[in-house]
Amino acid sequence: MSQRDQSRPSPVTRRAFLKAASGATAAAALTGPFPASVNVARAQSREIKIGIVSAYSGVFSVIGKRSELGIRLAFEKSKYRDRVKFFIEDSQVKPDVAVQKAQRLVEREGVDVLVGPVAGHEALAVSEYSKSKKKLMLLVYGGNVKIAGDSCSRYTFMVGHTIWSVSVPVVPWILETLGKDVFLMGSDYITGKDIVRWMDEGIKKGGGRVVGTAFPPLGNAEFAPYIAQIKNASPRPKVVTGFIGGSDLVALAKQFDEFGLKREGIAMVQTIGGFSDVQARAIGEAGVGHYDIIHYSRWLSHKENQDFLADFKKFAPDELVDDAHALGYDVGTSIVYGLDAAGGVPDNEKMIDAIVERRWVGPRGESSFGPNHAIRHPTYVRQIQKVGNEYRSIPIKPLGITGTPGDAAGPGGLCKL
Amino acid sequence: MASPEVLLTNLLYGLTIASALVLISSGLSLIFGIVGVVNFAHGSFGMLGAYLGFSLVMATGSFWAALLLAPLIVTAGAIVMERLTLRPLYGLNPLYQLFLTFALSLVFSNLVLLVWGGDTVSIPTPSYLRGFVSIFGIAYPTFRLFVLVFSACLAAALWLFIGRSAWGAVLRAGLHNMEMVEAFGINTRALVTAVFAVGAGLAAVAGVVMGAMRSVNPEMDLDLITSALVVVVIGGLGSFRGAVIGSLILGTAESFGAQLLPGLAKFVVWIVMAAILLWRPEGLVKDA
Amino acid sequence: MTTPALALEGVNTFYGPSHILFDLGLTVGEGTVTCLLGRNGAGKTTAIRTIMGLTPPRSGAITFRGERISGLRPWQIFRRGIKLVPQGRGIFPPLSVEENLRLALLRAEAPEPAAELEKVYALFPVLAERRRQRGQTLSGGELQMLAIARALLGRTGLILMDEPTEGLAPLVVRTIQETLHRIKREGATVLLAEQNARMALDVGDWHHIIDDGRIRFSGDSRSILGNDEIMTQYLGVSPR
Ligand SMILES: Nc1ncnc2c1ncn2[C@@H]1O[C@H](COP(=O)(O)OP(=O)(O)OP(=O)(O)O)[C@@H](O)[C@H]1O
Ligand SMILES: [Mg+2]
Repeated sequence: MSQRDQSRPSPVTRRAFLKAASGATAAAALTGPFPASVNVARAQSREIKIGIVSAYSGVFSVIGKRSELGIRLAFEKSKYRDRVKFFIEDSQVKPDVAVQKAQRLVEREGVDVLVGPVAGHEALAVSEYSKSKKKLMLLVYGGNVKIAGDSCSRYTFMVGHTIWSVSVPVVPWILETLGKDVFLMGSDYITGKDIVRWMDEGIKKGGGRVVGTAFPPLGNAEFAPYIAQIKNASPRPKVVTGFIGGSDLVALAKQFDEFGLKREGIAMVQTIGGFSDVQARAIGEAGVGHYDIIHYSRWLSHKENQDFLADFKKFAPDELVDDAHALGYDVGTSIVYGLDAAGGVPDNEKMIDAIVERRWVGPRGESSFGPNHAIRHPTYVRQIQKVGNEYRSIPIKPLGITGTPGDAAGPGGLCKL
Repeated sequence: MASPEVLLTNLLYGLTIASALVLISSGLSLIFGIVGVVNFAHGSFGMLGAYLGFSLVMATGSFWAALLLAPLIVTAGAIVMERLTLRPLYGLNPLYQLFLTFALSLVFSNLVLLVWGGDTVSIPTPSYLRGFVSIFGIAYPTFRLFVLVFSACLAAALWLFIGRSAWGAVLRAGLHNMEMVEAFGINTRALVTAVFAVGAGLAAVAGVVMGAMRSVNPEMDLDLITSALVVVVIGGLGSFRGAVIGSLILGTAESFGAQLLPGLAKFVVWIVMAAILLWRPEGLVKDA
Repeated sequence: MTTPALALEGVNTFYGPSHILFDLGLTVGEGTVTCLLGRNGAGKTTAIRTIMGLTPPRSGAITFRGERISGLRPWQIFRRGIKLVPQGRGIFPPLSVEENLRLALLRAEAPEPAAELEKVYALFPVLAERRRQRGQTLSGGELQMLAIARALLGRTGLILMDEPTEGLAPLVVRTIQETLHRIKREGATVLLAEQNARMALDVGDWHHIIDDGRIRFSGDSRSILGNDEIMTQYLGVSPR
């Protein structure tokens, strides 16, 4: 939090900086003391400006702050640590505000690379803008499948995931491991509805049976009526899955236990990493045994994740590292990778050509990009377990590497770059 | 679908929610009744109660400490807030008060983000309240039953206090004519502060029990104030009986609405509210 | 006249921008019934409200038994023994008769509340019959008796009575008038705002004539009865 406040250039200092900079150029033009070669050397070591448009107010502000820390860590470890300058803007999770802030960053501050906002609709809006300005943009979240499909852009990289890549791949595992009779529940908005639709198709194709479907409104805190529907479904489901947003899920998990579904042995599987460590802690005892699907966990044991965690411990000792940090870090290292390939100059076209080819093992594991610039990442089934006094979301089963198809049959339609 | 069992479950669930709603909405209603202020920050008292309750459970390990202390802390804060910010605005254009309390609600939600961060948490309940109780053959969660009984007792105590005690009569008189109450020797500024404090404390109690049944998150203030506003619009602003009746209607509309018209639960509530606004704009109940 | 219980000096009162009372000066003698006589809109209610602190004066001094009370809040003025019988009665409709009385007793410094209640019930037996009935169900006469009864509870130094017979049937007016005589015999100090000159001149010891927010004349009943100009111009009574 304080980290961000210190780093955010205030309007006053930013204006002061511009004034000083233009003053310096004017002085240089007047006296002309430097030979041309010096100017070239300067270009090589000039500032690299990263503009971040993310959620910095309201409920999602934790995501903005955590992913920003991840990006900063990546630069801290790079040779650009003294040249990078961050410009932070709050999108307020509104598409129009997000575009306006992106505009300011690109057109007023002249940033070299954009890091895009967190919600799907804002991400799409800013992606359209960055395409029109031919400005490289990387998305931490903003997993709108359109951006991997018919609204894909050469200038946009989906570094985090799409809502498809961290939901649908769990279906075969559910049918195989937990049971064939499934109750689907999605928050009543586009993400919840899409995920339920895809999973419904997947379940039927995989030989399972959907015994009921419910769409509680977003922001719903009372699931008793929906739980009654689950209890009344016949046959009784073996699994309840789908997507219920953030704090609603805490209420659902508590009431799932309260009304005895958990005791009956009905499993719950959430998508898009619904049961993070933080959520697991919020839910407490009632959550133990539930599953989710996601690409990251701080309990992953591979070396790259352990190094990442150790680095973070030094960089920001108080942070409880979760996927937001890891995705921010992958965004940061991808930008650094592009810069390296472009000879340390933020030449967007060269950077893009390099990043598309990037293959790396990051905190999540083996990662790369599809031809539609959507990430291909490992996915895991996690389970909430009680370890000592702590509730942890621990990976129990790797599901292999998943991307988001950008073909005509893909969730977001055909991507033509 | 609507077996007697399901109907009874919904009824119990509706009553549980209604009893908690009474706690949150009665303060809002009474404050409006005696000073004409719609306190938009009333939901924040519930949220602050929930977060304080969460921290208290974490620190002491006792749910009861949370249920008792969190409302007391919120009450103390509300007294300071009323004295410093609201008092100078009584009698002025109600819009100023609405703006001010709206601004205060923003301050409180940012305060919550600052202190507790944006993560959702929830208040752990004592293990002996986690089981089930059988009511007419239906297994109902013990904790919900506790919430129902506890909130209903609080509401009944409040009802008795307002209806029977000397100071309750003063409150009912004040709802009708505050000036005349003052002319009979009662310091009405202190009375307003007291009502405000009690209202905030009850909202905080509601926050703690809601935070245990549902979750504690930085947006719950909005949920709470919206529900409370719906309740008082239905029941009639400035009336405790109205708050009780409005809560019963909202609680059961939510439970049966979600059951019978899945996906339209919230919609049902708005329809009820709009119908009442058209049919009886002053709400169902007019006096205390 | 003895030393006044209540004295107003140079009192100016405003409702927002409109100036209502102009340099008002008047006194109420201890143990007397003093009347404030004037037509509709003359400023009687404003004067009563000003004394009670409900509409505080912008300038001037109000003293009660030598102590300055202007600037105090109404509840503080009440606790000095000044009781209001407001125009329109000011009964709390949702409260029962007894609750209305008990509310008035709450801060009236009555060591024995039950005895106080019995006292006013003896004075107005009809109230005793209706003690459980809500204020909103009472007749106009009963409301007025209740309003007067409230003012008699506990320690009372001065009663401010604003048009107690307004809108009442002649028979009821007579009852109220008798009550006033009785209160007076028992030694109460009363400031009575009235339009009804006949009633005022019957019970009043001393009169202030108010018009347009100014005191136009002060004197005893005889001096007013003998002044045809005042009777016609300010009190709307035709000369005999
Ligand atoms: N709240 C108010 N705002 C503005 N002007 C007022 C207000 N109340 C009374 N007035 C004005 O003050 C003047 C005196 O009114 P007041 O009520 O004191 O008269 P009154 O002698 O009691 O008359 P009545 O016999 O009709 O009761 C009138 O001109 C009236 O219009
Ligand atoms: Mg009058």
